[in-house]
Amino acid sequence: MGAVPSRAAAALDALAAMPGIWRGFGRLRPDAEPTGNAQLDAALAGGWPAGALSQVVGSETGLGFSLLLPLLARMTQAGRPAALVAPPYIPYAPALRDAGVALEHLLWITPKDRLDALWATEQMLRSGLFGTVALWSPPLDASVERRLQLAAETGRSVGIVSHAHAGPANSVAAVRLQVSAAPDGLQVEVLRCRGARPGAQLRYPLPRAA
Amino acid sequence: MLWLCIHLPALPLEALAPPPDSCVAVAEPEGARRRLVAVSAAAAARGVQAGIDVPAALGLAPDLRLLPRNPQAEGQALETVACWAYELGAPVTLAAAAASVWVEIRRSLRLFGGWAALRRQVQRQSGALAYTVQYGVAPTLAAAALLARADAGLARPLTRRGEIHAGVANWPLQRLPLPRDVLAVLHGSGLRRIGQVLALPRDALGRRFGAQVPLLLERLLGRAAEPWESYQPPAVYRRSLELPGGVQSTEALLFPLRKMIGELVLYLRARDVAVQRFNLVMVDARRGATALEIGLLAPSRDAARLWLLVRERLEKVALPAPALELRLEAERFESAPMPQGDLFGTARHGEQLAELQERLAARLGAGAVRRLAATADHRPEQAWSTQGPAAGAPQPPRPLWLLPQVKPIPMPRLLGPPERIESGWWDGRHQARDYHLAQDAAGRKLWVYRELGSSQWHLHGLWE
Repeated sequence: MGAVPSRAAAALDALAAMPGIWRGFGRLRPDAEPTGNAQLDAALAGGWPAGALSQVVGSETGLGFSLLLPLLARMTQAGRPAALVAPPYIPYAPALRDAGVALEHLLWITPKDRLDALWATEQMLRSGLFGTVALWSPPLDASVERRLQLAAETGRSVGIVSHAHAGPANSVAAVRLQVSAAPDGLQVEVLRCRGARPGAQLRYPLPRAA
Repeated sequence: MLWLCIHLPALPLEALAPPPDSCVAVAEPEGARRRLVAVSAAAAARGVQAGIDVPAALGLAPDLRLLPRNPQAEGQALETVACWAYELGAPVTLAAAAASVWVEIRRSLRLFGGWAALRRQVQRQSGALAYTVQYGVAPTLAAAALLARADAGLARPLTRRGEIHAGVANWPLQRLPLPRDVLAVLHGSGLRRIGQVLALPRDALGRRFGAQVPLLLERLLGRAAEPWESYQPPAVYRRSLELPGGVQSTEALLFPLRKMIGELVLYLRARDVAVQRFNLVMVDARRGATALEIGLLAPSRDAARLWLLVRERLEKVALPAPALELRLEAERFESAPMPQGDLFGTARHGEQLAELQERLAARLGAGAVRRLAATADHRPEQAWSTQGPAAGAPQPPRPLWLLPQVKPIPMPRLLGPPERIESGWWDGRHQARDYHLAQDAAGRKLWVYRELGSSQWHLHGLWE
C-alpha cells in the first residue's frame, strides 16, 4: 500500500522537474539562480531564471546594478565567467571585489555602438560559456529581445537587460523588475515574473552599507 | 629512397586563385605566338584546352580572360604543397619546372603501417589542399614524376628500382620529360614507346642529343644519382596574392583569404609551431596599404579559428580603393599547443572561451574587451585597472559605479562621516580629499568628495 503513492510522488516530481512543465504559482523553478536575497528569491519563484532574459528597469541610469552582485559573485567564484556589456559607468573594481566577485572571471565589454553591444551580448549568451551576461541598453525592440531570449535559451545563461526607462509593454522577458532609489537601499517592484504572481514589493539593502 | 611525387597539373592557373566559375586561362609566349598552359573548368566547358594558341581560344570563347604566368605565385603554391607533404614524411624536395613536390615515404610507410593506411592518410589530408594533385610513387625522383604526370596514383606504386623499366616500357614516348625537339626526332625515327628508347645504346644517344639525354634515362632507372635539395620551411612566413583587376568588396576577398589561411596552417604544421599574431595587408593602387594586425589570446594553428577571426575583422573594414594584392605575414611563432583533454573538459571550455573573446575583440576592438582588477592604492582613480594584481589592503566600502569623469555638483545631503583619502605624493598625483556617502533629491546614493581646503563638491561614484 505504501509503495504505490511514493512511486507516484516520485513520478510526479520527475514530471514537475521538466523545464517545460508549468506548475502554477508559489513553487520554485528548477532552473532558477538564487538572487542572494531571500525576499527577492521568493518574489521570483526561486531567483533569476537561467536560459531566459530578465529586465531591470531603473528609475535612473545604472540604478539596480547592486541587485546583480550576489549572482555575479556566485557565478564567478564557481569559475563561470560573467560579462558586463556597455555599462553606463565604470564598474568599480574594489567594490566588486569586496562583494565577492572573482574579477578574473568577469569581462567588461565596452562596444562603440549599440549594434556591437547587441551582437556581443547575443554571442556570449548563445555560447553557453557564460553563467550570466548583463547588458545596459535603451529599451529593446521586441524582435531584438526575442533574439536575445533565444540566445539565452540556447546557452542556458542568465541574461539581464538593464534600461533606464520602461520599454514597450509587450516584452518577452521572463522577469521584469522596476527599481527606484529608497532611503536605505533600493525599492524593487516585480512587474512580471513567469511562474510567480507579479506585484511583489520589497526593499533591497545597500551593498555593505556605508 | 621511395618517393611520393605530388604533381600539380593546373598549377599556373590555381596559383593565381581566380574566382571559382570564372572563364579564365593562363597564357605563355612561345616564339611569336602565345599558347594556353592552363584553363579553368568554365573555359574547358566551352572547348578551350591547354596547348591551343590564344587566337584559337578567343575564337571559342570571346570573353575568355587571359592571365600571364606568375612564377612567384607558382613557387609559393609549390612551397605550400611542400609544407603539406611534410606531414607524410621527410625529406621533401620540389622543382618549379616540373610543377612537382616529392616526399620520401619509405620510413613513413612503416610508421603508418602499410599502403592502405598511408593512402587513407593522403586522402584525409588532401582536403586541406586547394590544388588539383596527381600522385606517383617510385624509387627515383624522375620515375615518380613520370608516374605522377600520368596520374598513376597511389594504388600502383613501383617500390623497387628493378620494377621501373617494366613499369614504364609500354608507355608512349611523349611522356618522357625530354625537350620537345628531342622527342620529335625520336618519334621521327619510328620510336613510339618508352621501352624502345631505353633499349638504345646510351653512347649513341649522347652523341646525337648531348650527354643530358642518356643521363636523364639513367636517373629515371635509378642507375645514376639524382641531385636534389631538401626543402625547409623558411623562418618567416610571407605570402602575397595578386588580385587581377582589383577587388573592392571585402566579401570578394574571403575566397582567396580562406585559401591563404589554409596555407598558413599547412606551414605552421610543417614547422610544428603555432601563431599568436599575424598581419593581413591589402595593397591598393591609390592609398597604399590597409594593414590589419590579427591577434589571438593563445597561439593556435586551427584553420577554422584563424579564419573566423579574419572574417570577423574584415567585416569591419571598408577598403578605400580596390585591393590589388593580399599579403599574409607572420614573423613570430610559438610552440604548438598540445591538444589535451582532461576528465571534465575544462581545458576545452577554456579554449572555447578564449576563442569567443578573440572574436569579440576582433569585432569590437581589443580595447573594448577587458578584465577588471582592483589595485592596492587608496586613491580611487588608481584603485582599479584593467590588468594587474587584485590584491590590496581592505578598504572602507566602495561604490559600484565609478564615473569616468568627475562631475562638479552643488552640495548634496551628506549621509555619513567623511573618509579622508590622502595619498600619492610620491608619484606626483597627490590627492587629499574627504569622501562622503550622500544622497540626491531623488534619493539616489552618491559618492562625493571635496578637495581639502575647497568648498566645491564633486560626484565620483554611485552606490547601487
